[in-house]
Formats: sequence, structure tokens, C-alpha cells
Amino acid sequence: MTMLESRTQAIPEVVAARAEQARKVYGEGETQVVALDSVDVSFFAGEFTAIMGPSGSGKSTLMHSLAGLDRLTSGRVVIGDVDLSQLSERDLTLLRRTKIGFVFQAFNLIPTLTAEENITLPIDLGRAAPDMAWIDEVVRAVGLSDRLGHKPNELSGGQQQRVAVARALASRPQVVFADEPTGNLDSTTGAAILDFMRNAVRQYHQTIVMVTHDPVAASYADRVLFLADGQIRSELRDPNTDSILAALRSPAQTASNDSGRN
Amino acid sequence: MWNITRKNVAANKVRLALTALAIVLGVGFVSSANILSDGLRDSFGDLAAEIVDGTDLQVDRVDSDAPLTRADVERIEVVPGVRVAEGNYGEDTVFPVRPDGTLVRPEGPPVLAFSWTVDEQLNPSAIEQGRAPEGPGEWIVDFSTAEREGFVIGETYDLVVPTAEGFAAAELVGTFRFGEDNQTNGAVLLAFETTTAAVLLDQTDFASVSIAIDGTRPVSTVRTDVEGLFTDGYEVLDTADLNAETSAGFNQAITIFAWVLRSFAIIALFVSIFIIANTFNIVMSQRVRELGLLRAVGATPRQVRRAVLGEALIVGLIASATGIVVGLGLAYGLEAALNGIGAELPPFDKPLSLQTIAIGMTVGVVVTLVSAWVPARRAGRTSPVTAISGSDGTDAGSRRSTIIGGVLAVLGGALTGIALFGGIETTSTLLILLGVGAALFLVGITLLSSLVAAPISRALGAPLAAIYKRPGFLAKENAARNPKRTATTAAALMIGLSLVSMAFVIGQTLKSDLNTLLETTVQADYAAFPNTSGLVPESIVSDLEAAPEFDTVVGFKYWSTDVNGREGTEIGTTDFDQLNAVLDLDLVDGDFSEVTNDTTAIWEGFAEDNGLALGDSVTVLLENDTTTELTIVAVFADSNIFEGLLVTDTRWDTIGEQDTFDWVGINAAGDDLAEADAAIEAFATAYPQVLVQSAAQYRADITGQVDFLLMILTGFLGLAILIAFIGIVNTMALSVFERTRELGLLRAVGMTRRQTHTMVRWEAAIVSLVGAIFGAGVGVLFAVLVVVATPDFVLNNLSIPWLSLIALVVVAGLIGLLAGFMPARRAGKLDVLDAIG
Repeated sequence: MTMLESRTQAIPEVVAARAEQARKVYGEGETQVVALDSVDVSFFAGEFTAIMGPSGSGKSTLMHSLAGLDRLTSGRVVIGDVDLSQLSERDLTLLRRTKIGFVFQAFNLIPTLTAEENITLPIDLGRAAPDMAWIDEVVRAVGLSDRLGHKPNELSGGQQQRVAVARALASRPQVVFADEPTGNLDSTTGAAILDFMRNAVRQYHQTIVMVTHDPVAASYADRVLFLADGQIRSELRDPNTDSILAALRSPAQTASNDSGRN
Repeated sequence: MWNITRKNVAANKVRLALTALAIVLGVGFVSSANILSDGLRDSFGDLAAEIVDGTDLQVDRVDSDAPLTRADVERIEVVPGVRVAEGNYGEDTVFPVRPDGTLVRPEGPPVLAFSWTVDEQLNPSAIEQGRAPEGPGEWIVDFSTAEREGFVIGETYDLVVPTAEGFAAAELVGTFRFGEDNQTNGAVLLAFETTTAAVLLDQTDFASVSIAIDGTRPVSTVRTDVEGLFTDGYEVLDTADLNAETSAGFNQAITIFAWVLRSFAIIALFVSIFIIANTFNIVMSQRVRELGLLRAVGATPRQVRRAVLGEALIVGLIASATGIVVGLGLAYGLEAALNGIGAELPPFDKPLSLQTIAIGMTVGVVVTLVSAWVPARRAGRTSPVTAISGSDGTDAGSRRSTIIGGVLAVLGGALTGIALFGGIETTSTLLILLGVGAALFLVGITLLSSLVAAPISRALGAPLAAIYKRPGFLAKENAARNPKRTATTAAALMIGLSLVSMAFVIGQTLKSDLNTLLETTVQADYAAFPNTSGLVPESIVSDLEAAPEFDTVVGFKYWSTDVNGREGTEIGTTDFDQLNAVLDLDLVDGDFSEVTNDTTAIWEGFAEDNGLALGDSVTVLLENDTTTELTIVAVFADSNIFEGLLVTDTRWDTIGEQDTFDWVGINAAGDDLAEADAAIEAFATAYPQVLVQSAAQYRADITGQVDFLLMILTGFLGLAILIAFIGIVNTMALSVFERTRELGLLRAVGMTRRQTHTMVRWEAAIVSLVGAIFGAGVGVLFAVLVVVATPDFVLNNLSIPWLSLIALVVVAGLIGLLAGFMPARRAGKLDVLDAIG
């Protein structure tokens, strides 16, 4: 499964983010663990990509490296036309602030800020004037208009995740990275969040990369990448739950799991 | 899991070290106070032993009116078994004058003048060079002073003496060595031949009679016989008694000194309690899952409580032991600091006694355990459910703590009130009441302040949100999110700063009262008053009057006697004809010119207190123990100078013993003060025993002294402030640790390191400012109470140094920024992946 093969499928045109020969090694000598093993992958603008794989497959490492939270041992990550490996710590932070959106599994919000303040947090950190029309639209789309003044502890888990998604979209980032965004939610609430994320891709041409181990969540994506042992093993386009489950059961996914990272 | 454990250990290391540091400093200060006082006591104990060694018996006057004369010495000398008896004079009112006209007068230790004891056994001193003084016009001095001052045997020097003339010229005929090695602890010693001493020291009766026995009869028998010679009003002491009495005299001064040091240490330890309690509280809430798990698997509340107290015990033991060692170093530092500000301590050892160790360990451990008590109880009450559900780490101010806070504040206020206004006479009772009252009040205010800590933090932080945008806003919200924590952390600073601001306000009040006095009451261009020993010779008045540069010279003499049965009523005399030229006593009724030998002018306040009015009579006790009636012919209102009765010079002679002036007001003859200034300068040189100053000089002098005292006080309270600083560092470090995930999220979504630093440092600054504002407020309140409680002649019109208080608050803010530095760095260095993972 190479990048070239993906290209042949023709729908996406612009690459929003890509990793080239991405290699991440933890530890040294005997205890050395290869978390990412020369991964080449591109994420296309306006596409919803899910990354799946068992624990230790390297999917979190891949996402963290792509998102500028972690640095590669070798190879490079490019967001838009910016090479992350060339950036200083400060520039990397500024890139996260302006070019990247985040949705985490839990603890997405700052407890001392209201929902609205949480949504505009990355913009406020940059002191730039927020695009209020856009934010209004995002807020309306996630159905939070009447909850904006509330603190996170006054919101339900689902509402909190919706605020998180709204925040990720608020600065119109190049890529939104979501790490198990529905992992702590019941299935109905989770479905609403995933629906919303898919809508953001369809309606606003937003690029979203989501790490998940939940086949149902992955089925909302346009494309699913399967990782194992630090390598991309296979890929699905326009998946559904069944095709994902089938792919997960295929020998390519289960092979040599024992050598994976803990 | 290993990751969390590792983080826990790392965080605990810092926490333990910082918690311990508060105790180390407090115990260190307590220990150094003990080490210093032990050392000084030993040093002065040796001195006492040297003074009394050789004196077998001594007759002292218990009643200062009891005569002790040449005849008494002769009666003692014929008692069987007495080898020799000598009468002694001793005063601290004689000062040698250097050839340049200045006085030999150390700041701390006294200048002691006494009669030279002829008998070598009785005399603790021995001639070093030259010879003993044999008659009028001769003196000797201890050889250290002679060497230091360059006094040469055979030269004639002026001496300031407490007689009407004020001066005596005498030839230095020798130097002497006190004890083995002239260890005088800094005192300057002079001696005269006995009869000369009586004249120069202005004494008629001996201060004591020293006796040496000849060994034919035991001391106790001789003592009984000597006692038989005297009635009440005398006591006969043997060597042991004398040693004890002399040491007791020194020890009293040392004890006061040690308690001054200790009281600062107690304040520091009191502040530590807040810091340690806060640390344990935060750590317990962070460890709530662990505690819940312990409870879930069957640990009783008691076991959990004990585990926490055990931890406190270990911290307390290690910190106290370290503190004692630190105290030894601090003792040297304190010695240097005290000498640096002019204390002139004698050289002394720094003994580390068992008692010092025991006190240090006990105090340190008890303070730590007391601090950990409430957190430990809370930990014990942890519900097993929290093992699963956890807790958000916040604890809002509960109703219960508010009620307790209110009760403590009221109770503390009441005790302080009783101390200040309850007419308590005993100083120790007064101080204990004040201390306990203030401590309770401060604890109460701390508990209550958690109610308002959030809004105050938000108000203080409001400008930050405007300046630093979101990081500033977060700093403000973080300071406000846990009011109890903010209040307790701020309380530590509040205590130190409340005392500093109280001192500032009282100091300012003193200075402004002085200014009012100088502006409204004193009309004189210059004033002369005693330099040290209460003696302005009469000759200075006639000399001043004779000088062409001066116009009016008016002397004032004060004494006290019984008036209408009131003991210790101030009574004074002055020149009524010229009084108005130098003083405005604010006459409200009658006329000063009507004061004759049978009439008096009286202070309004005294008149009111005693129901007296113009025309009434007062009964005044005279020197010869009879009384006389004086009619009131004038009433004056000013209380700054004088609160009592003014009489004529002739009437005065029948009342007071004193014939020297306490205060002399001087007016320049012309408008040109430059000439008068020069003349005043000359007088100041000619009369070193007198301070002759213009109002401006006087003001600068007193202001300087007040500022100096404030500086020393602030310096000592600096320890409490340092501990409060540690407290802020500690709380911030723990908060940063507690908010690891939150910080990770902020960093992930684009908060730069610098913004993280800003956020954490300004949170620390806000906490610090909350403490400073409460401190300044409480300090002003305390100062108001003190000013109201003290008599008007001490502190009258409250004056608040707003600028200094604002400066204090600003400095506290800077201290907070500094305290936030280390936690901010930790927060900035946080690994984002670790934090969010």
C-alpha cells in the first residue's frame, strides 16, 4: 500500500499533510523500540482519514508527529508547505496554534474558561481577532449556541466534546487531528460528534485525521489506514463497519503483533 | 503507572524539600536565639564572677533613701573577723572627653565610673601602668580604652560630670586591668580616689560597702554580726549572693534580647504553619485516589491519619535537625548583623547546648505535626469511593471553616482589645494576650478571606487579562479557582506584611506627631537637651544668654511628685516671663504671669481628670515630706511637652532634687540663622553632654532613628516574608503539577512557553498581592488600635504612609513574580506528550 496507489484513486488533489520516511525510535541498543518504521503517507485536503491499529502499532506516534507534538528520529513531516523538522520549538507551537486543530479523548477543555472562551482559545493565544461569523457558524453547527457561557463542569461529556471539535475548527486549521474523540462517549453521543466531523469535511472542506480503534467510528471516515508494527499495512476507501472489521481480521493486520511496542 | 509514580516522587522531592525549608528556617532562628543568649550569658557570667571574686561580704542599700556613710564603714571595720571594709561609689554619668571635644561613649556598652578600691583583694582590677588615683584632679582608665582612645598618662583630660558645672579636668595618672585580661565586654571603665569620686559623681552616700574577712571567724558568723549593725533597708550578701545578683542583672538584659529574637522566630514558625498545612492539604487532595484505595482495601480513617502524620513526623525530624545546624551558622550571621547595626556585642562562644537541641527539635516537630493535623484528619475521612471517581482537587470554602474563622477572628479581636484597653499592668501578660489575640485574629481572617479571595484575585488580575490577553486571563482565573488555597498561601505573606505595615504606620505617626509638635508647640529656633545621662548643666544657660547670637534662652526642668495624692504627677519649672518666646503651651484659661510661689499652671487634661478648675487648690508633696497648697492660676492645653503642673523656680527648689535642665529653648537674636548656626555648633562642641540642635536637625535625627528601627524590624520580619515566599513557590509548584494535563492541552493548542511562564508567574503574583493587600489592611487596623490605645503623648494623630504601603504591595507583587519563576519554568518545560498522554 503505497502513496502512489492512493493517488490513483483520483478524488483528492491537494495534500494537506504528509510524512516522508517517518521513523521514530525510542530507547537505545537492546531496549530500542521502533515505533514508526519509515512511513510514507499523505493526507488530502478535504478528506476525513481514520488511522486504525492495535495498541503499540504506532498510530498515536504517527499522529503526534504529524501534529507537531513529537519530533521524528528521521524523515520529515510537512503540513501544507511547512517542513516541521526545520521548525524551532516556538515556531512549532505557533504552527499548532494556527494550522492544526486538536480533539483529544478526554480533558479537552480548560476548566476555568467558558465554552466560548475554550472555542476561541487558540485564536486568543495569538491575539488575532477571531472570525466571528465563522465561529458563530461552527457554534450553531455543533448546537452549542445556548451553552456558550457555561464552564466545562456544567456541560455533559458529549457537549464537552462538541466544544472541543468547535475549538479545533475555530481557527480554520489546515488539519484537525482527533485522538479517539468518541472514546469516552456513549454510542449515540459519539455518533453525533462523528456526524458533525464528517459534515465539517463535506461542508467546509476541512481535513480531519482521526486515530481510533473503534470500527464504527472509523466507518465515518473517507479513508482508513491500518497500522501495525510502525508500518502502514493496508488502506480502505469509503469504508463501512463490515469492511473495516474484515480488514482488521486479515492476516496482514494480525501478523507479528508480538514485536510491537508496548 | 510507573510514569505517574515517577512524577509523584519527583514532585514529592520538591514538596518535601520546600516544606522542610520553612521549618529549617524557623527552627534555625529559634536555635540561633538560644545559642546567642547562652553564649552571652556565659560571657557575662564570667564577668560577674570576676567582679565579685575577692569580696567576701557586701552591704547594699535596698532602700535608695537609706544612708550608707563613712561612719557605717567604720562600724563594719570593727566587727570581729573583718579585715577591711571599703565604701564604693559607681555611676554611669561620667564620660571622658577626647582632645577633639567629643565624648568617649560607645553605643551599646556603658561607661562606668567608680571609686578605686584600695584593698587589692577586694578590687577586681589592678593597676597596669602608672599608679592609682590618690586625690582630686586624678583619674585612671582601663588600659584597652586608653590604647583605643590614645589617652596618655600624665596628660590632663576633661571629663563630663553630673555636677552643676558639668565638667572637671583631671590628670590621667594610670591605667588598670579589669580581672585577668580586661574582658570588659566593651564597657569603658574609669576610677577615682573615693572622696574625689563622691564629688565628681555627685554622691553623698555609698552605693555599697565591700568587706574582706581575715579568716579568724567563718563568713556566716561575720555576716550575722554585720547584719546586726543595720536595720531594714539594707542587705548583706556573700560572694555567692553577689555572683547571682550580678549575673541576674546581666541575664535580665540578655533574656529580653533573646526574647526579642525569639519573637521573630515565633512569627516565622507561625507563618510556617500555614505553609506546611497548605502543602499537606494540596498533596492530600492530589493523592485522594491513593487514599481512597487505601480506605477501599480496608484501612481505617485512623490508620490513614497516622500514615499522614507519620510523614509529617519524618519531615519535622529531619527539618528540625537541619534547622539546629543552620541555627549555629545563623548565630554567627546574627552576631555580625547585630554588630553591623551598632550593637557592639562582646566576643562570645556559640555553645550548642542540649537544651537548644531539645527546644529546636520539639518546636520543629510540634509545628509540623500541628500543621499536618487538619490535612491528616481530612485524609482519614476520604471516602473509599474516591478511589474510583477521584476528585477534582478543589475544595471550596465550607460553611464550617467560615464559622470557625468568624469565631476565631472575633475571639482574637476581643483578646487584643482586652490587652490594649483592659488596663493590664503586667508586661508579660499584656504581650501574651496581644500575641495570642493577634495570632487567633490572623487565623480567623485567613479562614474568612477564602470567601473573598476569588473576587479579589479576579479584580487584581483584571488588568492582566487586558495586558497579556488569554495567558493573563488564565492567570487571574487560576488564582481565583481555588480560593482556600489562594487564601492560605496569601495568609503567610499577610502575617509578615501586616506586622511590617503596622510598624510603618506607627513609625509614620511618630514622625508626624513630632512634626506637629515642632510646628505648633515649639517656637524656639534651637533646643538643647541631655545627650545621655540626663544632665544639662546650668552654666550652658548663662553661657547661651551671654552669647550675642541668641536672644531668649528658656530652661525647663521636670520632676515628678504626688499631687492630690496622685503619684508620679509631672511637675516642672520654667521662666514664665519668657516662656511664650520658645513654647506655645496653648493657654486656655488664666495667665502664666500670675504664677507665684503659692500658685501653679496646670495641664487641662490633668485638671479634667481631677475635676479641677481655675481658682481651685491642689495639694503638692514637697521634698521634706510635708505638703503645700497651690492655687491654679493658669490652664494650658498642650500635652506634647508637658502633662502636669508648672511652678516657679523657688517653689521648685522645695519639691525637686534636680538642679539641671531637661530642655532648653533658644531663640536667635537676629533673622540671620547662619551666624546662630555657627554659634550653636560651637556650643555643641563645648558641651558634648548636651545635644544642641535646630528643629530641623532634631526632626532629621528622630526621623532617622525611627527609620533605622523600622529597617531593623523589617529585616527581622524578612525571615517570615522569606518563608511566605517559599510557601508561594511550593503552592505554585504543586498547582503546576496538579494541572499537568491542562498545561499539556494549552501547550498543544498553541500556548508558547513564554505565555505559559507569564500565566504561572502572574498567578503567583496575584496570590502574593492578595496577601499583601490583606497584610496592609490588617497592619493598618492593628496600628490604629495601638495608636488609640497608647497615651497621646506617645502616639497622637494617626498618620498612614500610603506611599510606603503601596510600595510594600508592589514589592510583594514582584516577590510573587519571582516566586513563580521556578514553577513557571517547570510548567514551560512540561513534555506535552507526557502531559496529555
